[in-house]
Amino acid sequence: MSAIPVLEFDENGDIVTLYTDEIDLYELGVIGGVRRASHVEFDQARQEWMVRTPDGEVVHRDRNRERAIEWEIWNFGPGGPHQPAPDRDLEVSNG
Amino acid sequence: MSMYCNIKTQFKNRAALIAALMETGHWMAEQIEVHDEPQHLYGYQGDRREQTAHVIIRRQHVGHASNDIGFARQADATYAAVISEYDGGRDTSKYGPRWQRALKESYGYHVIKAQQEKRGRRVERIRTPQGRQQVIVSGYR
Repeated sequence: MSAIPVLEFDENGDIVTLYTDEIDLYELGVIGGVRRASHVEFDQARQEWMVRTPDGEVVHRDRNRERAIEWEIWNFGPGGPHQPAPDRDLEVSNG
Repeated sequence: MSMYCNIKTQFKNRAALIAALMETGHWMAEQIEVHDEPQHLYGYQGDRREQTAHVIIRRQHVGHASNDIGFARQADATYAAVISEYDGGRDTSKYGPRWQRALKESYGYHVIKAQQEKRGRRVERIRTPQGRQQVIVSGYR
C-alpha cells in the first residue's frame, strides 16, 4: 500500500491534502479543487520510474514504483517541498 | 499520479462533532445535549428563541450572559452551527471564528482517528510553524 498523505488545515479550518481512498475524505466535508499534483511515469530508456511535476520536470527517480509513489506523496503533499503554495487555498465550490 | 484536493470541512459525523466540542469547549459529555428531534435554543435571559438544534450546549455552560450554542442537522445530514452574534460574531468572541476554526480542526482529527484506529493505524496531529494543524496517519504497513 502507498503512503497516506498528510492532511493540513488552513486558517478557516478547511483541509488541503492529496486525494486518497485510504481515508474516507467524504466524512470530513465537501471535496473540491481537485487538480493534478504530479505524475509517476516509467522511463523506458533508463528503466526506472520517474516523478514529474505538472510542468514536466523530473524531480525523482526510482526503480521501485511503490517507492516512487511514496516519495511523490511525501514530497507533493502538505508540508512537502514540492507543494505549490499558490494552490493551497483554492476556493471550493459547493456546486 | 497524485491529485490535490481541498475539503470544505462540514460536520457530518455526530460522534466526532461531540468529541470536538468536548475538546475545544472543555465541556463534559453530560453538558452536551443530543436530540433526535430539534429543540429550541434559549437566550441569555431565558427567552426561547426561534432557532432549533439537535446538539445543544445550554447557556449556563457557555458563559456569563451567553446564549445557548447549537448545531442543527440539515437536510443533507450535516450539522450547522447556531451561535449568537454575542457569543460568536466577532473575532474577539470566545466562540468566534478562531474557536470555530479550532472546532473544525478537532472534528477532522477525531473523524480520521476513529476511521483509522479501526484499521489498526495510528493518528497524530502536529502544529506547523505557520500555525496549521497537520494530521498524520501511520502504521499502515
